Amino acid sequence: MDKLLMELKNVEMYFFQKRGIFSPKISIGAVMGINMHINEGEITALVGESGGGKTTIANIITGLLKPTNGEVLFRGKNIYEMNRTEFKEYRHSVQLVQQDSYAALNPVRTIEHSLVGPILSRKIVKNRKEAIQKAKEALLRVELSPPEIFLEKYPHQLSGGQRQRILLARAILMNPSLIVADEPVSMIDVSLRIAILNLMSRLNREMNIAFLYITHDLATARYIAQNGSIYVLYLGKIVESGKTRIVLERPVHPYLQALLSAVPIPDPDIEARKRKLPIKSIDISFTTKLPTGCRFHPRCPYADEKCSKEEPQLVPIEGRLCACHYAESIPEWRYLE
Amino acid sequence: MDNLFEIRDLTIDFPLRAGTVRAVNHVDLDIPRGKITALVGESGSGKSTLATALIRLIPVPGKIVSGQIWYRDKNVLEMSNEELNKYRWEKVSMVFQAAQNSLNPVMTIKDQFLETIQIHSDYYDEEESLEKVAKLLDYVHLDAGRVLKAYPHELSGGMKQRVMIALALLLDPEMIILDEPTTALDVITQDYIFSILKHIHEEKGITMLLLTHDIAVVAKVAERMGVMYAGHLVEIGEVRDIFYNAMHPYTKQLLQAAPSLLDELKERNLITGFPLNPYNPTKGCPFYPRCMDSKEICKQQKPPITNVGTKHKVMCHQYI
Repeated sequence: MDKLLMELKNVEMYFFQKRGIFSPKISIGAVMGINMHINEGEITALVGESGGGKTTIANIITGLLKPTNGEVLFRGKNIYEMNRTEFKEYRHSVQLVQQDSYAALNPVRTIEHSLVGPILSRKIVKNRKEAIQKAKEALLRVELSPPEIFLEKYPHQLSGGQRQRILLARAILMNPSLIVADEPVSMIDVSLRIAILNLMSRLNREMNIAFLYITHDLATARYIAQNGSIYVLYLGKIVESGKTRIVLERPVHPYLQALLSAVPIPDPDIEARKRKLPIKSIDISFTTKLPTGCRFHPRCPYADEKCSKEEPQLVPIEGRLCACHYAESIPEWRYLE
Repeated sequence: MDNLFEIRDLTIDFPLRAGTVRAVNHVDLDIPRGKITALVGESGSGKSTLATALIRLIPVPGKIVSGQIWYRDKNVLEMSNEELNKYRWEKVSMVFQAAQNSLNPVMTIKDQFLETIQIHSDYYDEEESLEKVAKLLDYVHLDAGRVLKAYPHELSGGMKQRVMIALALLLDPEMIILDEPTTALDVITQDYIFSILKHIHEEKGITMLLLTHDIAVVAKVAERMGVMYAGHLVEIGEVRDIFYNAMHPYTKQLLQAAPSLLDELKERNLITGFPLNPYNPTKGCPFYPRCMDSKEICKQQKPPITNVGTKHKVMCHQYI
């Protein structure tokens, strides 16, 4: 039976912007009505376009950002009602691996410093010698060998893929139960992405670490979260969610269908036969002026008047949740003509 | 096949403190007129350096050690400054990687377009130029009324990229070089940008050179493709020939390393071994340490380039 690790209940994040002395503050709703479940040992994918709220959710889950409304629960307990010890335990248990590995490492410190610092300060080990030993073990786990060589290096001396592995090493040293990986492979060459994804899968299996894999790339999301769940985010709202296999086998929401159609396939004959993207306009509305009703309606090929007036709610359909007034009648998605 | 560019024996070195890196290693490459050619390779394979050589904008301290780049009957590497000014942006333009950062942050989009026209024209008329710019923006599906008066930071990544494409088209060049034009853009914007590029190509017959590490994108857009590894052009041919009949061991591995939406979900294989130390070039085949099919000769001798089909060449000892 799946054990619930983290839960977001009706989480909302508004950012307030001052407009001037006499104008009221306007609020920008970055994310609204978010309900998410992350189970122990499972890999969950969070998919959406840039500016859609993915990083906001990552920051809320890791406790870096307090939501305007709603609850964030770790092992059933609201993190903002925890005492200091409990909160510290939670913050160590949920680690963040960022997209820009170069920005995430102190450029004037060796890798040894970056890895050993956190373990010493958390007193996981007794002394520096043990800390270095643990750091070497972590480096071996992320397939950086021989570890001694890597401890001496500075971030700029490593490749993008190597730096990404260092970030993973730093995360696993904290013995986390969840790693939130925010676009971990988007800055790495396509041919090298699989190696990092396989590594994350291995860490998941061997160390029972849950992953929240955040991306705009459906091909990698499908690969890594194949046995877990997927949440599709559009302009701050979840539009479809469920088990990855079910959702991606028969996508319902028009936005998800458009996303899937947009992913290029490494096969020229298939690409030549592909249908045009089922989407109306390309430019996302800026988040200060959200569309009325369903946020996707200006770009949706199936939208009508109801869609511009009423916001759809997430309802169960065909084994997953989908927020669309016409979910039952959206045509089945096909890749080819 | 009529070639717009013929690159012969091009070698570019970067003398650095730790040693000299040979970024481009005796490359021969033809770029056919009116087609979209892609150059595929990982970061550090030399494709960007090679492309910058086409417009003589190789970053410091790169030095051209040998070779010629024939554009019509002129060698680009021997052009005078005067000739270069008439050539760059007017005959060949480039959209750089993360081009969004190429825009001047303290100038409006309108001023950046007008400035470009001014510098390249003997006779400049603001109204005429604005008309031309508005048409181009419309072509790349941007709202001229909104975009022209904006500063770069007010536009999204996808919008800035389209501005860069419009800027590259401004002087009606014969060829555009696009270096990873959709990195950092999401998949829907990427699809849109490529359909714009294809549309431009179909309507204007512009030759395009696309540099990328993403082979899926090549399948979508290109007609011819070359594969680069450690500064060498290891395979070149028509896109269908390469995808369905890849010859070079590196190409084969590259093709199966990219996760695809349609494949079976089994664990994919990564390319084994480690890349070459760039400071210590080998006298043998550069792919030898990672090649599954390698033999003794591969370690000792650099393979020659062999014809393996119609317009299909490969640099590998297996095919001699």
